[in-house]
Amino acid sequence: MPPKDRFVIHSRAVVCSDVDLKGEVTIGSNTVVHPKVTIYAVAGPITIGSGCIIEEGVVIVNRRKDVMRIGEENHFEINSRVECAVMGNCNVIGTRARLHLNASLSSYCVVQPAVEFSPTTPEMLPDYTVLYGEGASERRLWSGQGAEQERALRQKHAEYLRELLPKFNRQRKGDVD
Amino acid sequence: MSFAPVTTYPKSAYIETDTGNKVSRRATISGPQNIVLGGKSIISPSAVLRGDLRKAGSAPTVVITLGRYCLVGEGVVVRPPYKTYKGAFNFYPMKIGDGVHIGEGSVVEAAQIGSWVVIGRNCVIGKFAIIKDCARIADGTVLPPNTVVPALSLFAGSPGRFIEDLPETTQEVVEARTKAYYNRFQPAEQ
Repeated sequence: MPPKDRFVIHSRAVVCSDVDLKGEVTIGSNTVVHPKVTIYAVAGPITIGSGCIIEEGVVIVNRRKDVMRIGEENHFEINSRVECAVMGNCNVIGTRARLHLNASLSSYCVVQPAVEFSPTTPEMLPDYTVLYGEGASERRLWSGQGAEQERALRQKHAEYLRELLPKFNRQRKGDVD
Repeated sequence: MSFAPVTTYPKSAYIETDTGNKVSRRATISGPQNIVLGGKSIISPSAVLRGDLRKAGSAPTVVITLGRYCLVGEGVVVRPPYKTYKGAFNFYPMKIGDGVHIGEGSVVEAAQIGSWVVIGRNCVIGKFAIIKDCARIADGTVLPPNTVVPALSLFAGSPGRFIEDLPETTQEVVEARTKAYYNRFQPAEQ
């Protein structure tokens, strides 16, 4: 039986009304969800931390029984698809990238645009991993240089969008505050 | 003139403006007051044009400029690029020239696209990319941010790289093709 719909949206999060939510979804403070985003908690609930940016066409699905935890200040770019079990903080999921449900990210990972990462066995990517190439064939560790600047950019981006989006888009609120 | 058959669509599925733009009712146009369509352009269903992502300030700004005879394919996302400049975060306007065809499922965050450019299906055009006139981007290309594609060149692959020069007749060929496409795109007789 599919779980009951229950959306908890923090009062400081900006979620556009043109967003498709299903199941038990929790969205943290300062998170920005653009229009045309799909978040389906098919089996277990989805918890999204604070300060994330979720751009248009992103699909986040939880097919597993346990909670899908997404950390803070992650950036999901346009049309990416994420089914991974756990995600840490400050990750970037590139445009049209796909993460399979066996994949897990720790923190400061970068998945480059149009990369499909689908390991056959559950795999946790260590901090500062960069995935690129056809079918995530190449990976390397990033030095972490400029991570603070990247974070500052992310925060400014989210802050700007929180001001801008409500001017042009209708917002939706959660069931309970 | 082309001898290809006419492609028809149900009349109610598209809105036609005075200047001949055909915009699907199923397309998502955010912030339409910030988008300029040059005329005789087609916006396909489930395309997303983000005119709401504008520069800071209250003055009216044009965010997306589209020329004449353009085609924005199904599921295409066109959104202006962003960066921080002198510590301030901002979106920057995007200009697209005449006769630009963007294939299905592509994501475009370019700063500038010239005229008579053909972008294939499922491409990713990175932020602040500049595509000059008569260039061609093959299907499935991933252009990294800040790439400059010179005029009359074919780019392909991931990351997108220069493949070959295009013939000098490209402009006439693409011009004829885009105009013919628009003329063939007619509402079905009811």
